[in-house]
Amino acid sequence: MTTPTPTMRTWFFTEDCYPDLPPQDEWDSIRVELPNRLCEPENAHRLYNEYLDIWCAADEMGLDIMVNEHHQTATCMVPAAPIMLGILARQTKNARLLILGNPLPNRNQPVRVAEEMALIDVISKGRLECGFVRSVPYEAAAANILPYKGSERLWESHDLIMKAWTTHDGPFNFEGKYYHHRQVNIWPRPYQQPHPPVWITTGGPGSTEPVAMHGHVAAIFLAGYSRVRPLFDAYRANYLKHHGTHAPLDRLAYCGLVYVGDDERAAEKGANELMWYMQANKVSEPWKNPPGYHPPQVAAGIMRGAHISGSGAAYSTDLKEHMRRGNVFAGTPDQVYEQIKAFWEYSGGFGHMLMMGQAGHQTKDDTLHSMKLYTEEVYPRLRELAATWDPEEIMEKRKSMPDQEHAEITDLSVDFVR
Amino acid sequence: MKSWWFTEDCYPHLPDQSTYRSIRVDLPNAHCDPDIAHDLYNRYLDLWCACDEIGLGIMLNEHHQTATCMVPAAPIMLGILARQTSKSRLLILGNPLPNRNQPVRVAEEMALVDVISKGRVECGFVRSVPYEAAAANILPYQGSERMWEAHDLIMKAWTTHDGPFNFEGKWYHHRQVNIWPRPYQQPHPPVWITMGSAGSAVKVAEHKHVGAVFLAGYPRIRTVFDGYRQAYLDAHGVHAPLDRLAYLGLCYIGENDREAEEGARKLLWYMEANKVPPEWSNPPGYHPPPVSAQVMKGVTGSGVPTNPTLEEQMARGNVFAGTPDQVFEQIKSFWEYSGGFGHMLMMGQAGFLSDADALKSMKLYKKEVEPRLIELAKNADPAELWEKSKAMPVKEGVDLGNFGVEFVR
Repeated sequence: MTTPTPTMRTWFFTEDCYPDLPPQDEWDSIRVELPNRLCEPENAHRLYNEYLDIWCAADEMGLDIMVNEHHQTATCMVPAAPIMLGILARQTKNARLLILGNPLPNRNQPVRVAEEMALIDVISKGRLECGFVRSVPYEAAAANILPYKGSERLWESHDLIMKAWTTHDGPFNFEGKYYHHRQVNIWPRPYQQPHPPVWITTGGPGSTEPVAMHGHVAAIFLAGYSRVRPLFDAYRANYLKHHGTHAPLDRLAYCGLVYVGDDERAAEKGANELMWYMQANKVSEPWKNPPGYHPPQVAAGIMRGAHISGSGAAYSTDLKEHMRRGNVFAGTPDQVYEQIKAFWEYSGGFGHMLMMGQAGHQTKDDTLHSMKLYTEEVYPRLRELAATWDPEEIMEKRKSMPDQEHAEITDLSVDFVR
Repeated sequence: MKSWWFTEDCYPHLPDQSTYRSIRVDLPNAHCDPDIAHDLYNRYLDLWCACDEIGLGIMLNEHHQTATCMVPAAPIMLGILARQTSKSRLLILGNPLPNRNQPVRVAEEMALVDVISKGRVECGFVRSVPYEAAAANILPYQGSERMWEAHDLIMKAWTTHDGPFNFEGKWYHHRQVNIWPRPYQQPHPPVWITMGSAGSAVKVAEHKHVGAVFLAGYPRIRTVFDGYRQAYLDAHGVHAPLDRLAYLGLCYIGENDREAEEGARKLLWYMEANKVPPEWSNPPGYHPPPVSAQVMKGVTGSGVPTNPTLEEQMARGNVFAGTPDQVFEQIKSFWEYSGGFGHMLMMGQAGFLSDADALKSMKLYKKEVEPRLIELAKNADPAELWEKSKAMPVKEGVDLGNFGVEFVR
């Protein structure tokens, strides 16, 4: 059997924010407690439809689609991603539909999750890519759950969902540590056999093991140069250990902010708009570090004042800094291609580019323009690049690239970050 | 009078009924062919989109683990319709609250769809039918209590805008509730609750929500509607407006008797298909003990009749079928007997009824039945209608000959 040529898929993503807020110094936290009177329904209606229009445009352009959900926050107005996904299943034709992800520990009826996903998979004629996430700390309060052992709950819920998807000969019972459900026999069953592809977000090397063991796609968000190797390499090692072969390229995904402009001035403007995503996330203490979410030593560090981002690097909201770190890719098409290529080679390669291409006040037109430039002038080159990937060759090549915390400014060849 | 068009989105391509014990809960999902299901979902959504063009309200629902209804998550279908339609109001009847143990998520889903639809959601809550207990893995006992407490939490989530609140109920606890988005409609979307008895109507009336009754027919409609009306009068001191009451029947309009009969027989699949054994139809704790005992004795059935005849169901006022004139007369008769109602919920597709036939019936209804029903209800006085109905002797059904319906004689 011939191995398929490795390729790169790009998944267009926006968090569907509600950006029209009073100045940040007038409120304590954008998450959990920001009163919903600030969410003006007419404005929200307009925004949802624009976001859906952008995703529909992604389908027409040949990009794939990624959605997510968050609760009680203006950073993401979608508390039920399956509802947006259902709309896109009906309205799009070709794009694969990635939900990243269903926050399993915060949803205490896994069988309903299995049903929702199966329904969407059938409506879309088998285009669902189903992500499961433990979910970020702020979600614990909104979901009213104890976040302790969230990962354990995630995996048990995953097991029940997988069983619900793949059992076709009548009801089964499931009696787990966290979830019990008897007489499970979901209608419909998924379109894709044996089940839709599964993605899991991972934040630490240890958490890659069960993902790799199952052969699921591991997605990493904004890890940057400083963390991408430990995470991707851990997945690769675990995959090899469990399967005896190298992880295919399409088992790894990376999410960064991406803006492509006609020229540097336009690119800088667009990239700064995207930075809203990082700059808006003012969260008060109780929601950032709920008891039980982090391991004790991490929680203690936070309480002592360590101001860390998800990747472990010092917190920053500076565009230049994030481009250096490998979280933001911005510039002309050539520049964006070179930035992604550099990161891709450094990381050892990945098969999915999760492109957060809209945030904050960025208009639909500006977003579509960046998407168009990406699709026409960056994407084809990334696919060519991915086709050359060989798991052993790239590791050999990597030996000449020592571990680094960020890209050098000069490497980015973009004037606005010098 | 508002009219709402409904289909349960069934998967009718099943083996002979004699080869399986139950269509609900344990009919293996191997029978659900994904390609056929894909085609069906899109056809059902197309029919609902046609309602938007034709000018009828849209109604949908959810059920679990059954071929009678392939939608286990109605909010997902509702979201699609919110995006794809622009005029029809969107009635979800309903969210099965006792079977969904995160009421705040229900509130969020409804708010999301209400905003996407620009304020067209009509939000129904139901206790849900007995068969759902097994699929939801819940204890059905005191389901109504749970439904109302979930309702209270959802209403509070919809209407609180000044920051988080805590809710510590008997069944549900949730702290720091502050949903984003908030609903489009102020103070909240209209609420509908299904009612099966006079007793269950009381709280619905006290809240001034719309009370919906399904397939009660002549034998039971007055008991339930009168229960609502009395409770409304007692609680509010005025008569319930007509738009507080809704009735669902199977409804098929044909250009002639033959068409009407063919269509109506196909709709009857909804009742004929519902083969359910007692372990699913009478789970411990769902019915009050006296009712449960009657079911176990075989004295009364539980739920939908399984050996319906078209003649009987039409006589009872569960099915309205015929030419436009005949259907108008049948609905008018039922409407007057019942004391009047403001929402006609018409199940207009079921089983193998084709899209073309469903659309044809839909259009005939819109063009030739709805205007007359609107006229009928237009200046009706609820108090007068109620008095008139009380003066009519109790009856179990009607003589279809009175409507010129020949095909079931």
